[in-house]
Amino acid sequence: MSEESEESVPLLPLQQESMASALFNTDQNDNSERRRHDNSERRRNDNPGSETNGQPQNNIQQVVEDEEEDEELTLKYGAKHVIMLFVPVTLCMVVVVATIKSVSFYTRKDGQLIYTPFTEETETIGQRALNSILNAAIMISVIIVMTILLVVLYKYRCYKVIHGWLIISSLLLLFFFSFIYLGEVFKTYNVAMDYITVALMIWNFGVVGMICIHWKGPLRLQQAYLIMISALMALVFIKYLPEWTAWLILAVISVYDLVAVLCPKGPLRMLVETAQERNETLFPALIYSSTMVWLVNMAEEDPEAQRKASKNSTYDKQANQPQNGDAEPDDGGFSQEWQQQRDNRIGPIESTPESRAAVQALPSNSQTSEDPEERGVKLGLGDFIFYSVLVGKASATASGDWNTTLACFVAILIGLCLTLLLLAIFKKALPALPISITFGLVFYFATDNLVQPFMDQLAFHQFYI
Amino acid sequence: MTLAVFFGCTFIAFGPALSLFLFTIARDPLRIIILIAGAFFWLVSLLLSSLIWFIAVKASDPRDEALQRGLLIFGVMFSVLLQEAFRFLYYKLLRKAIEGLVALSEDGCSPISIQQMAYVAGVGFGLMSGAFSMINLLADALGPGTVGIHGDSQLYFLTSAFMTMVLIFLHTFWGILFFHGCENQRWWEIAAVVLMHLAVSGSTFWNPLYVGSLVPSYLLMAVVGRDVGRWIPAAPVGGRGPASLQLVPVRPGEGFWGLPPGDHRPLQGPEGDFQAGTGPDAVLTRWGY
Repeated sequence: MSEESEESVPLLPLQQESMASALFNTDQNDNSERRRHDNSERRRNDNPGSETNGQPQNNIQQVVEDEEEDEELTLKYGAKHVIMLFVPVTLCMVVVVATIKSVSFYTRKDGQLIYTPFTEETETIGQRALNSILNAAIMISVIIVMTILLVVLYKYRCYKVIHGWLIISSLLLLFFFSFIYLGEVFKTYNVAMDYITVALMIWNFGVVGMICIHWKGPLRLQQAYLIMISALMALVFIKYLPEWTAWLILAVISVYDLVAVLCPKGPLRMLVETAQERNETLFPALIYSSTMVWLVNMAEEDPEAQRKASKNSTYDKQANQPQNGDAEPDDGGFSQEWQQQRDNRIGPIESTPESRAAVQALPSNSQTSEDPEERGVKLGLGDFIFYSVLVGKASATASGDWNTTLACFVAILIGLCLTLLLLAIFKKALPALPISITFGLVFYFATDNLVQPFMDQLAFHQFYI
Repeated sequence: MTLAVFFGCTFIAFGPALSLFLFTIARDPLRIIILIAGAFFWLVSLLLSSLIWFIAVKASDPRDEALQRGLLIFGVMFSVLLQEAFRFLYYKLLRKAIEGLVALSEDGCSPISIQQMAYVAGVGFGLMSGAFSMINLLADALGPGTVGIHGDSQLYFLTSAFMTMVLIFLHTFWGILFFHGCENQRWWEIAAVVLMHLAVSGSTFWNPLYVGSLVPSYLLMAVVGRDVGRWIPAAPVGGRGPASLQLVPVRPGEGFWGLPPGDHRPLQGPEGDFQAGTGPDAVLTRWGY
């Protein structure tokens, strides 16, 4: 059953990953940028009806101070954010490499996707190169087309279409691909299993995943699910992309990412700007966020909720509630369970105008125990997927094996670090793929071809450097 | 072979380094970043040196065994020199980073001192060097086979693990020593590090005569470790050191490891008693300032 269905991997998961990678390569900056936005808005509004902290804020000086503090705070929290992203990226890569090394299914050649129709089993190298270039071109144009389609849908507010699209792709990933994965793992370890148990397991896994990703759920569980679906998607790519095509696609997609996020007319930039204008967050199902503390309703339903009550709030990641139109009693997203959870975490706190004024009067660099959770950083799932594809391909096909894998891993982490540093300096949405993928590719080819023979000889003679 | 050898060699080679990582580095994000950047710098130095070696090999006759061995020895020496050069570059980068961190912090203190960075950088270099030497061996150790069936040494895995461990420690100590030398313009310390590294790598040319390589390396590690340990003050560092260190005060109350003094046993000073070994004045006298 697995054999015939692989050939025609449908359009949907590819769409999902293209959206993820193409779009949200880093929205990390939304946090600080929008917070600054809101701060300055709030300051200039001076509207007693708005949800401020009960203190008149019409001080331009304070705006400037806040911006300086923002700058300090952003950079001061830089190291923590980098680690908040290192851990999930590392986990995703570990899952992918572990699977590649143990489950032979994902390194076996079983045909190619319909997006890469040209085969690489040709007689001459020139033909192979040409085929892989054509494959990469087709794949990248599919990604471009779907990104533009997504931007158009978003611009014309066809939210239902987008959500339906996202739900179908995550359904496919969570149920179908994980079923195949589970089956292959069982085959590898020769575990006998009946369909009923498998059906129960997959059903539970999938439903909980859908709930966590598209609705509400514990943060760690949601992060775990996002990592798992990124790993599943990366494994699909590793299996179905032939070698040269895969490297070419990685290179081209990082160039595309650079162009799409930084050029003024780039689709991703337009998407991010439109979202910022409308003061909405982007699709939560496609972004890995390291923190979720406050739930705030979306713009259309509740204009008041746009003004954040506290300077250090983070964003909502659940876009669904207001989109569905049917409003629950408007508790601003601070539902009962959320209150209980918060009470469990930091003790019962009720905010009164006096307490809010007191907090406002505190020096802004007071370190509360909430700090690690207050400022989150976001990374698109497409980045996870392509990083894992690079490392997975390195571990699958390199002659240097673990050395190459390790080198690519370190290179990608350093690229991510540099990207976050640039983010802290430039404070706008940045593509996360180019630097990391460039380093990764350079180190892959260099380690595989230059370092590996050297290390081989050294190990043979047992010399140490 | 199989699991026993795999786990044994893994823990011999990486056990101490892993505990160093877990207890001193893992809790601080900044140190983790410095560790990974150190690993990256080591990797780049390896890349460049293997490029040179590769070019040399391709330009030579592949059948001449003696020449190939000579080229390999040249490759090793060149790689050692390049590693130390990159250590120096990393030192420069970290100096700049400290200035940036000081400028961005609110109280004018860097959250991490150059000595801590030296230690973490050393561990980074060591871990990456050890990983590159050992990981493929460990992967092979998991599979079936007999060690030394063709007449080579049967202790191959074990000695590799021990050599890796000693190299990781040595890199850590060299990192501290090197940065200390750079900070205080003591060029003889830097030269000592380079020479020691060359000596240790050179001693591995005696392999498989392991007494020629392992024993000197362990002796060297003990000597360097004792000297470096004497120099690491248990008292707060930075603000009371020589003028060059005065630029970067570190938050008072933090020992070298960032723990409040008294949380760990300070290292034995030359006087032999802990009381005199702690405290800022003792630091100054110990360093001769």
